[in-house]
Amino acid sequence: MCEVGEDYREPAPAGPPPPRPSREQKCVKCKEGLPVVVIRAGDAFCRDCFKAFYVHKFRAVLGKNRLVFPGEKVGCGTASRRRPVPAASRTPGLGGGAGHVGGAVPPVVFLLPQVLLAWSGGPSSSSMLWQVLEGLSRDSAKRLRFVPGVVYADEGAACGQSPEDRAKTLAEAKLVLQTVGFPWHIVALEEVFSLPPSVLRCSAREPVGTEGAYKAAVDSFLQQRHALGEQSQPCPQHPQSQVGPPPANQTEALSRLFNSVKTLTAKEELLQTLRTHLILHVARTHGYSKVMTGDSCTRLAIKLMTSLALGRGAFLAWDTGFSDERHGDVVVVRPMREHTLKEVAFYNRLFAVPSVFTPAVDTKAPEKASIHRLMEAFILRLQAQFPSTVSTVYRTSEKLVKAPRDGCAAGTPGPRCLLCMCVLDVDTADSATAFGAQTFSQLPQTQPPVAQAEAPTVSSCCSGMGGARRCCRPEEEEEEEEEEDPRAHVTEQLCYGCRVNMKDLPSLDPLPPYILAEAQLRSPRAKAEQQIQEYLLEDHEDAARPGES
Amino acid sequence: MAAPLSVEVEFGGGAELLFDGVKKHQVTLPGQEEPWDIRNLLVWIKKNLLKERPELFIQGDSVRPGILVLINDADWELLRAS
Repeated sequence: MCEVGEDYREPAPAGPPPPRPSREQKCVKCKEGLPVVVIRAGDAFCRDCFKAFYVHKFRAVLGKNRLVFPGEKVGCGTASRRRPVPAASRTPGLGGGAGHVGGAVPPVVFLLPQVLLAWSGGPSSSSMLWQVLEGLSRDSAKRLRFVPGVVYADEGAACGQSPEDRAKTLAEAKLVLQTVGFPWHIVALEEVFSLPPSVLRCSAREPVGTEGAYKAAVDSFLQQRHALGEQSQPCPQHPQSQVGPPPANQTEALSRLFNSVKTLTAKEELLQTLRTHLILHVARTHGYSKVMTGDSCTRLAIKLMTSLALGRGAFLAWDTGFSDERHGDVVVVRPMREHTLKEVAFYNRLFAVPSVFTPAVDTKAPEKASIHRLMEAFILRLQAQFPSTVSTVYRTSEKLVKAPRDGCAAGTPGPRCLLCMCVLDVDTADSATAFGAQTFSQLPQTQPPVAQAEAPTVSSCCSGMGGARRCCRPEEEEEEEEEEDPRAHVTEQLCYGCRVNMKDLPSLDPLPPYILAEAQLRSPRAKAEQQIQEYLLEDHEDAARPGES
Repeated sequence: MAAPLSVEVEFGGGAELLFDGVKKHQVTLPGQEEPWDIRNLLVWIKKNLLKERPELFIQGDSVRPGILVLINDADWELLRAS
């Protein structure tokens, strides 16, 4: 029998611990059922109440943030009143999209947003997938309304997995994807080597061919369903999805890149960056306007603290908030952000949500191997003693506001970081920031003091381009500088956090070509802009960047 | 005096990596003086099932923070009264 009455923890610092719920108690919600799980500090829920609580939270997060607008008129498409589907023939993946209606009901015209679900195979994103699946198959008014797709990124090469293990994981992933039934895209991380530089540009417009891509995707999806009847049908494999394993030279290049990174922290950050770019590219190519990621409350609390430690404090609101619009046309949303990992794990276990476990770069790493690990251990250990830790950190993150820094030019947003695409946290007048100090310390020693003194007064001209580094000096000198230090024109386009990460990369050569190409592209343009700045009218600042799309 | 106890121990969510990738273990706990409880079970698991990196699984008397323990699909927290 299990021992009762024994507290295994170290004694709490002050006062007796609060009474813990026991099995003899009833569910705090319905007061009837036998509790199966303890949520938060002491609420014991029975199975059914827990499920209701969990599902409600998911839908509430979406509803609260107005992600899904049932009935919003956006464009053309035919959409349904629901035609009632008998339970026996309900297929997974049914629902969402446009339907055809018989009878006298006139077709309602609205466009359903296409949402890409970023699935890592892990418990949180798997749970998210399942919630979307269930949400889309509900009846009438309560149904979620958007057209889902799933993307799975195979990161085995970055994690040092053998080709056999990767193939095995991929096979398991495909099984789950087929069960879920949404259109899916499997991409390998190696594909970053074929990404175009445009993926790094923030685009305010909708992706090109959105309407066409939508209609085509929805129509083909529905046609397939109609054609194949009730059985679960094979999902359309988009021509860009990898059919076989990626070419060996790309795998090697990726391994080389990750092996060259000196610290695990930088490796994790680089992996995240590349993964984001890849998913963004998939979203843009196929006309998805939103990407949902499965970041849970626990993960976001850890991420918040980690980001602070990494020098990304300026971007916390984007990194941990519900919606992240830094990419412009594609919005990243985090619908699982109110679910703790414990809730997710229990839900998946109790309701048999399939997931695929893949080792990551930091699997089995010791506690002090990276900042991420350290922060994770810190938060989880604290949570064990003080069960409101995660929710407190989460609530703090909810209060973060996305506002531009004071002192920045209002209106036009400044330049963006090359890698993380956040608006650079630059304020040239304020060299008391870490960013300013770093920039200042990069100034070559031979620079004449005159140029340095000029730095604070030359405002918009130098903004975002590493302070006074390259401005107001003769062109010949600039070109010389450039050749001597090729890293500089990449580094100076990064935010503080990304710069710190880049320091752990001894050479920029193994980076995928799109990053270096885009850095190259931005550099001379920025310089040219600086030189003609005084001749430009203020309005032309937008028009001066014609190539961005 | 506790009689031998037959238990199914299951690991998931990555914990199985520390047990040679085997998720389900059917084990028979030997008879012993003290009654079997989770704490003793964890010690037994550490000694007999765990293949590597004990610090990633056990911390002191209990599991490492972040690892969830379910007993017959119910939260361990429920069985630990104050």
